[in-house]
Amino acid sequence: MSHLFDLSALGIGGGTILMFVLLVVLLLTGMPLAFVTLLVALIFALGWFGPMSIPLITSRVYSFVMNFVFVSVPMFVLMAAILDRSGIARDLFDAMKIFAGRIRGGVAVQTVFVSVILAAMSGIIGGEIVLLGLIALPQMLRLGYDRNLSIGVVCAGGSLGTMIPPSIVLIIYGLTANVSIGELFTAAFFPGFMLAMFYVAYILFRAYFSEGIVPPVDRTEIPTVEKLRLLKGLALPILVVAVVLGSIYGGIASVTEASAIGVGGVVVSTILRGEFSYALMRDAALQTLATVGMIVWIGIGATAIVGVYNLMGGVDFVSGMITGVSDNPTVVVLLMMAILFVLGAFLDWVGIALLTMPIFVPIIKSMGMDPVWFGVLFCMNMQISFLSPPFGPAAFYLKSVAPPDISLGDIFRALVPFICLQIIAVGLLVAFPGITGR
Amino acid sequence: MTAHDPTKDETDLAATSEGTGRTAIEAGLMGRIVDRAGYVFAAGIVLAAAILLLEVFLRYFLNSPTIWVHETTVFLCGAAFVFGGLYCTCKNSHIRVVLLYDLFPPRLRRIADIAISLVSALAAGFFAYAAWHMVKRAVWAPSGVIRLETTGSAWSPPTPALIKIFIFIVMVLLVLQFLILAYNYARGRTAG
Repeated sequence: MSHLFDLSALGIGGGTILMFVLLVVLLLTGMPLAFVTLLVALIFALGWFGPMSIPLITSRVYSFVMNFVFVSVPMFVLMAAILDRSGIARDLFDAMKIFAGRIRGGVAVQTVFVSVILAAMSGIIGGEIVLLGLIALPQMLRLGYDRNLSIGVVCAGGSLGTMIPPSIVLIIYGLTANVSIGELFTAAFFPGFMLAMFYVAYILFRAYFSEGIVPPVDRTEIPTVEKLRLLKGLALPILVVAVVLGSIYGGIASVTEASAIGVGGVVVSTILRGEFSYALMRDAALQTLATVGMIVWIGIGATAIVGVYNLMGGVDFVSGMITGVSDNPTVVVLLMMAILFVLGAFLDWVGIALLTMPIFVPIIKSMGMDPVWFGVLFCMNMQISFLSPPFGPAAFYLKSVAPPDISLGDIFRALVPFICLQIIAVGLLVAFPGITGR
Repeated sequence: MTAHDPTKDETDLAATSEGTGRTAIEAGLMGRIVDRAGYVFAAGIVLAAAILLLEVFLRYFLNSPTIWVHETTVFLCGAAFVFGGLYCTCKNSHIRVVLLYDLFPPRLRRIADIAISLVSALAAGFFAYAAWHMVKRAVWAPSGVIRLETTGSAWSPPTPALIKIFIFIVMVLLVLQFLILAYNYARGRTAG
């Protein structure tokens, strides 16, 4: 090799350390993740292999951008963006009142169920948490619900958006791991619902066993006419969920097509509700552009660096290190979960998925475990990353709409019990893979 | 890891990092143009959704699937993905770790802003160079004749060549945008 600096002289161990240090140092300056990974990838491509390796990176980036399955990501984001701008969520929340009115902690339970339905219409969490923060949080606080419980329910419930299908986390995982996204969606449904039920159980436990956590039950009867009017708010969302998930599970449409059907569904809903306008559509589309731009560019950087690292032999190197820890597959999986947990506190899920899954998934496969199950496990783990400090995005989303006297510290404190519930859910998934129905 | 400025108190959806946010003032005139051009690519995503719906309709109800939907939607979304990087740069909404950055005093933060923009320009420039190699092979045949690379399907549109050219153009524009950002941060003025 004749070029200026020859990094391959470092050997794979030294190369890994240098790459890691470069990544961390550049990231800590506040440089965007996408450009950090791109830069480090190119430095290593040139320094390790020379200019001949450049086409490798560009062709990986090209195939990442031009992927039919990936088209479903902007579609699901667009669907959520339109949904967030319509009054559908508010009506849904009002309608759920009929079912949750009679039990202690009813409004909190109602919030969880609204989150589950919203989650089944949306694959991202930002809009959902903001919506719940605007609709559910003020109502719970006004009625005298415990502040920590209310905050926790909104953040944890809103985060279900990426756990219950359709979920963008699962789509990205499926793309990186080469796993059927339809199968991932099927497998994630019950675990997602289980997590939601953990939240409900926790709310009920607190409501019935701790004094002053929730207000006394409101016994006023809702008139039947009012009930029917409220129920209408439930019809459209349920219909959209049924059509989207039904067409995926029923094998009628591919995930990408189902995502477009979902967009059509919410657009028709807004037209029926008389909310459709050019401004709504424009804002939703622009938000989609910004969101997918952010996700895709992290992907571009990550796919470049993983490509280079793999070519250096780094993936085999790390695999060897991880599998060398123990012969017991469960220990290896737990180690991976610990790594994801730590990364989740600092990085966002897109970066984690695209950087670690190309290394983890082959290990999982070689140990004879199910990559679909691991995808659901990963998704569940990322639920924790949404809530865990110092950078749980859910907390920041809520902070942007919460009353000013609620600080970020308050929010993170309120999230502790919910993080524990999520860790229990991860543990159960590891111990009983059958929960995914596979 | 969050939106670049988690402290701002906005109540609209743009407050989330999944929202649009505003174009950074330091992005200058170019930032405003990119912001406007975003409409075109956002419309492309909506159009892609409409085309996909049309395909489902044609296939299931008229039993006549098309040959052009697949490649057209991939092209429309691919273009939006690539452009989205430039769009997020102008809005300063790329994901970044602000663990230390948020602790920096204003002076150091300005220096960091300048350095980040310059290093990012370098990364984009590097990649523009790499993309140029890709473009050369996608646009010119070895003999030197112009021959746009096609998908090779029954319809075989030249979308691969077009996207590769577009990746190159966006990378060059990114270099320019980062340099403008660096310049405006260095000037310390907020009007541009």
